[in-house]
Amino acid sequence: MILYTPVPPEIVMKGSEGHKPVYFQIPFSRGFIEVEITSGNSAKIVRLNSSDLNDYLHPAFQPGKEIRLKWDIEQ
Amino acid sequence: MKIFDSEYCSHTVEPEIDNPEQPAEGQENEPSSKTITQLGQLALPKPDNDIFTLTIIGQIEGHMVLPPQNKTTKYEHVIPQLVAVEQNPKIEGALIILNTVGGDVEAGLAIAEMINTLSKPTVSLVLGGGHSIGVVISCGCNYSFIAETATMTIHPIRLTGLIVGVSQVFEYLDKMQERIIDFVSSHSRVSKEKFKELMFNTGQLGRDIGTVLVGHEAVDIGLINEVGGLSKAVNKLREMINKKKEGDKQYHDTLHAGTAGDRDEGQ
Repeated sequence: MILYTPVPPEIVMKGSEGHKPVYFQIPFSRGFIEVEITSGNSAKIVRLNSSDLNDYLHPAFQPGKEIRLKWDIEQ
Repeated sequence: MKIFDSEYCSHTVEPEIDNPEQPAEGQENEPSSKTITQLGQLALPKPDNDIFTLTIIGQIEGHMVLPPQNKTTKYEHVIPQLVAVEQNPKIEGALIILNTVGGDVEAGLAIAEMINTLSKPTVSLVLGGGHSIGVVISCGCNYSFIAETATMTIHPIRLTGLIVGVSQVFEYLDKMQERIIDFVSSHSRVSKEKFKELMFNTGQLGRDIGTVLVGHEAVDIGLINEVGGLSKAVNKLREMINKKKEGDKQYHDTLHAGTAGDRDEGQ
């Protein structure tokens, strides 16, 4: 990867050592949504992988959107 | 959240947006009054939007996820979005708003090529800054605007902190640079030589080589078409959309006339 930017690489890459996000893939009928777990019951959309192109224009699927996670206990 | 409901996941063409204020068909006036009484909120009218706006902000993220203090534009999301724009018949044109510090060369070039090969009219507007790879993206549009106070930095590609040990590394970087120079010179009024000269200019950036272009300077050099703001950009896009519609109609007319003529000739 070559970065073409006037910002020095040490500033761009600052904090990359300590940053270890927990990613989680949520499958749905047309693909999956990759989320970053931000707390016990919330996550942030990181990436979308869908076979339907309209999903990429859908406001609910935009990266950065916060979502709430619901946990179910199976008996 | 609603989007993961089994109902949503069923294969529908137009998914329901989880917006309770959105009026149902044929009841446009009713829900707004309901919202005022129930929630004390005013429902804004939702106009039909046929312009797709793409904002390219912060770093353009490519093959590597950047640390969280960076604001990034993710190319793996932007590219399918552009494919969707190309295929969606409701979208007539695209407005690209840039305030970027550059980023991954490959990702930036990919976005620029995608925008450039859209069959729908595209207009770019550089606000604040459109540096490095942002220059390439702004040139990739059919028409480009720059705000009066916006800046564009043109500088060479480099690998900081790495000593160029073998000549191949230098050649590789040179090749990458050549891709950018080629794209810019073929999609703007700047010649290859002039762009290279701007890239290796000394005396403008404190400890670096390159050029900073402010507003009208970018227009004078020929990198950008016009100095202007939001209204100018939207009006230009509207004008281009209307022209395309007229052109399409004429094209279809000639197509029909042409096929009829061909048939006559064939017989």
